[in-house]
Formats: sequence, C-alpha cells, structure tokens
Amino acid sequence: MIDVSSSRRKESKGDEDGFTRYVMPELDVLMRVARSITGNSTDADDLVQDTLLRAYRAIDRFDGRYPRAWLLTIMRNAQINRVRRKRPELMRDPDTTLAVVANTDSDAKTPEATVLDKTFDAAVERSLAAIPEQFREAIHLVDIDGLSYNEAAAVLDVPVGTIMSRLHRGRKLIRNDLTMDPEYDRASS
Amino acid sequence: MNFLSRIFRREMSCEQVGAVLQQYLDDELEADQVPKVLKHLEACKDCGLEATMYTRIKDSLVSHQQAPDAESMQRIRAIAQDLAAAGLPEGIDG
Repeated sequence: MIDVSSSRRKESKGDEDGFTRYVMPELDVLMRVARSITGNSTDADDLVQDTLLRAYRAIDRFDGRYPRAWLLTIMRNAQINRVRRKRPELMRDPDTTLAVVANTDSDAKTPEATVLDKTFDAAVERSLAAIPEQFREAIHLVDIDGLSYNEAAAVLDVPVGTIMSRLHRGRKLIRNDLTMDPEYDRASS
Repeated sequence: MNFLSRIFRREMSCEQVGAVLQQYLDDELEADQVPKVLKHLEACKDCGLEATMYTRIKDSLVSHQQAPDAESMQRIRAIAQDLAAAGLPEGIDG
C-alpha cells in the first residue's frame, strides 16, 4: 500500500467519486492499449501510472462524457512526453508485433480443426506484420485492443474517418495477402 | 441482383455494402443500416463470402488479445485505489 501525504490529499469528494466512477472501470483497457503503444510491459506499467496521475489531476475538469476516450487522450499525451524524454518509437517494432501464437479453444474443436485454425492464425499474423505500420496500428487498436473507432482516433490523434480508412485498407491488404498464401489455401480448403 | 428490383425495394447494392462492410463488422454502423446490410449479405453470395472472410480475419486478430499481466494489473489497481481514496501517493510529484 502506498503512503499518502496528508498535505497532498484532495479534499473534494466529487473528485474522489469521479476518479472511482470514470477511471477505475477502464484500467484493463488502459493496460492493454499501453502495452500496444509501448511494446513492453515495463514501459506500459509506467505509462498507465503516468496516465492515472494526469487523470487524477484533471478529474475536476472532466465533464463525464466518454471517459475512455478522455483517458486514452491523456495516455497519448503522456506517451508523447515520455518519447520526447527518452528515445523509443511510438509504436512497437513491426518485426516483433504480435509475437504471441494464437490461443485457440482446443477443447471445443477436433484436432484437425485446431491445426487448421492455427495455420490460419499464423498466416493472419504474418500478413499483419507485413502491412504498413499506420494500418497495423489501427487494426491493433480496434481488433486486438477492442477500441471503438472514436477511441482509436483519440489514441492516434487522427480523425475517425482516417481510422476507418486505415482499417479498410489494412484489412484488405491482409485479405489479399491471405488469398495468395499457400498455407491459408490449405487451411481454408 | 436485378437493378430495378433493388431500386424499387430500396435495397443496397454490392458497392454500397462494400463501402460500409467494415463498419458493419465492427458494430460501428448506424442501426438503421444494419438490417439492410444483413439482408444483402444473406442474398448475395459474393458479398456474403467477403463478409465471412473478413469476419474470420477479425476473429483471428481478436484471438491475439492478451489479458494484462496479473502482477502489473494488481500494482496499477492499487495505485488507482490509493488515488481514488486519498490523493497523490507519497513521492510522486503533483
């Protein structure tokens, strides 16, 4: 448990309630997105902590609308500051993107179906790693991190239409790549 | 699909469905458009197959989602709870 300095206590009950109400339910999402945009769990932890502190300081000015988008905007700004202070790139290295092998529900499938699904998942993973980074970012935030278009737009600081366009183009590239992939042909036939 | 019968029934064309297919699959499409897209996908084999392909890709991508590390999550939750309950933790600049 962290000690709390009495001189720094916020007296406003409203701030306390706002933090509990708007920030606490979003911790899982913040952790996932932080992992996506930093590329490692250590930096992700630091980024989420930084985001929480910034949110705490700003909660009395928050109007209560779209808390997730508000927090993701705070996270984006925090990350920009962190990158300025340090060195790394905003998004993870393309070569290490999605290094995790797909985890399929093997209990519910035949061994053959499981193998085919893993083959398909591996082909999708290869295709995702091969597309331009800005498309991959959008796909990662929406499909893997589960953000809405508005929330992904807040993270990347681009219009919602840009998110839609990047998703469309990125997924089309993956789709086209898969149809030319012999491994996919085997998995889908 | 016959052009005139489509116009008469105010049904969507393949091009119109293609333009909103990603929004439909992401549950981001306007509610009044959803039944029209669904109806087209059921009737049009090509668009139906296209939607199935993109759904499969999306499902595969979703399967990459990892739950945050339990230890990290516990630490972050403790910090958030301290902030919610009292104020800025000791040693952290306000």
